[in-house]
Amino acid sequence: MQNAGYLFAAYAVIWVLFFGYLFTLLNRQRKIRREIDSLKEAPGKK
Amino acid sequence: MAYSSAEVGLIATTGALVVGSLWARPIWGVWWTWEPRLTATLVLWFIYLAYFAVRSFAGEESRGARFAAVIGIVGFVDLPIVALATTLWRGMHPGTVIFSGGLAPSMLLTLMVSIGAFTLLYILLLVHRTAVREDEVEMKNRKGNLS
Repeated sequence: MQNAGYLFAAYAVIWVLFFGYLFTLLNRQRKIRREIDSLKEAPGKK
Repeated sequence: MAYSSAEVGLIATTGALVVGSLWARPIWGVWWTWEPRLTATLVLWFIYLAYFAVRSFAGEESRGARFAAVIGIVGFVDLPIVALATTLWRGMHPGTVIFSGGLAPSMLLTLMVSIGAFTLLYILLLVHRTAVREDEVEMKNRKGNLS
């Protein structure tokens, strides 16, 4: 198949871009929620 | 939600430009050419960057949101230019075939399924990004209340 390398690269770019973005978002959300939970506990520790 | 939607739009436009170049290289023999549709899409990408630049450097959050909204409204003018570029100007992109009945039924079905899939992907990413943004705002407020 001609130019199969370009076709593979195009699909790879789209998959990496969108799923990489989704993975980054989920990671960021987990970190932020952990920080929010620690901020919720902080006044109670006084 | 506007911020989140613009971020997803920036990701999608970046993908379109990169994947478009990968398609163009074997078909046209070049990675890039200054033809109408490609140029209009690059302008769209710059409009997205301008949206985030204005939002970040305006200082106050509400002022940044207002200025960025103006960029978004004005930038919307580029969308029909991108869509109609192949009709209005002669370039390397082929002309439209969908509305002139030039697309085979199997390809039309594939196109519709792709449009549906990418619309669902956009909604999924928008929902997640908006949730993260709301959490960021809550964290900022809680930090502000503590200090």
